Amino acid sequence: MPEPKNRTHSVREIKVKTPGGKVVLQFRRRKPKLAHCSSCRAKLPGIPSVVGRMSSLSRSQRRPERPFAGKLCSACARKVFMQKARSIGASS
Amino acid sequence: MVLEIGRVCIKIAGRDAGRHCAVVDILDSNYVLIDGATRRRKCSILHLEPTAQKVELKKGASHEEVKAAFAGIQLEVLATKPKHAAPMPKKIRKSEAKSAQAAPEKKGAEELIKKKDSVKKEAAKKNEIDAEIVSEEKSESSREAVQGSQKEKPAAKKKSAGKE
Ligand SMILES: [Zn+2]
Repeated sequence: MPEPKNRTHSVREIKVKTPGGKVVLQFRRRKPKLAHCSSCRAKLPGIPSVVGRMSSLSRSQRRPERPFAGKLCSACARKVFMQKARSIGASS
Repeated sequence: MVLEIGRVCIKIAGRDAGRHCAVVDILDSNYVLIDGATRRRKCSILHLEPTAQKVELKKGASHEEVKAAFAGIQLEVLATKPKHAAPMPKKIRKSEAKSAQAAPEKKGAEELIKKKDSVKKEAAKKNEIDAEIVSEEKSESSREAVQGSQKEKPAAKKKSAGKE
């Protein structure tokens, strides 16, 4: 029976073969999911999947330097900017 | 061509994305020079979305001219800092710093210090002479003491032997 702290699905089990030839069960914490675009659900590159270490990173290491960074992928953000440009033309 | 000189665009890629800019120069079929709320830079036409607005600009207009043109259509321009770096602070050597401190003192003070030094030297010489005399005396007394101790020791031994 594993220890109580390891009796959860947030801890994954892996089987490791030791030098003595035994196969033992080890427990590793799962990594958090990658950030996704809220529009097209694509994985967002440039955003690290870390727990607790985010505040130690610099601001430019956390997300791209762009409006909607960390929320929209670059393609979806580009669509938003193009809509903005075209709406300016329509209004005036 | 839609992207002629003076056309107001919105940049759709990079860290200046979402900001207004005006085309200042056309470099070739793929690249233009832009300026305005973005940095003044070469830009691919794929990263620009033209708007219906247009401002009057000459080819290769300066940042100030773009600023004046943008004021007409209620748009702000990125404030650019001058690129002249501040001069590095000069390092002062320790020896130079000492001389700089000593220079403002008056001459009279220096003479006084010299006098004091000479007095100290004389005193030091006297002390040395005294010390030599004392050391000679000490050495004589120490010899006597050593002889005395040598004399005393066998006596003590005798005393202890007698007690036993
Ligand atoms: Zn997307």
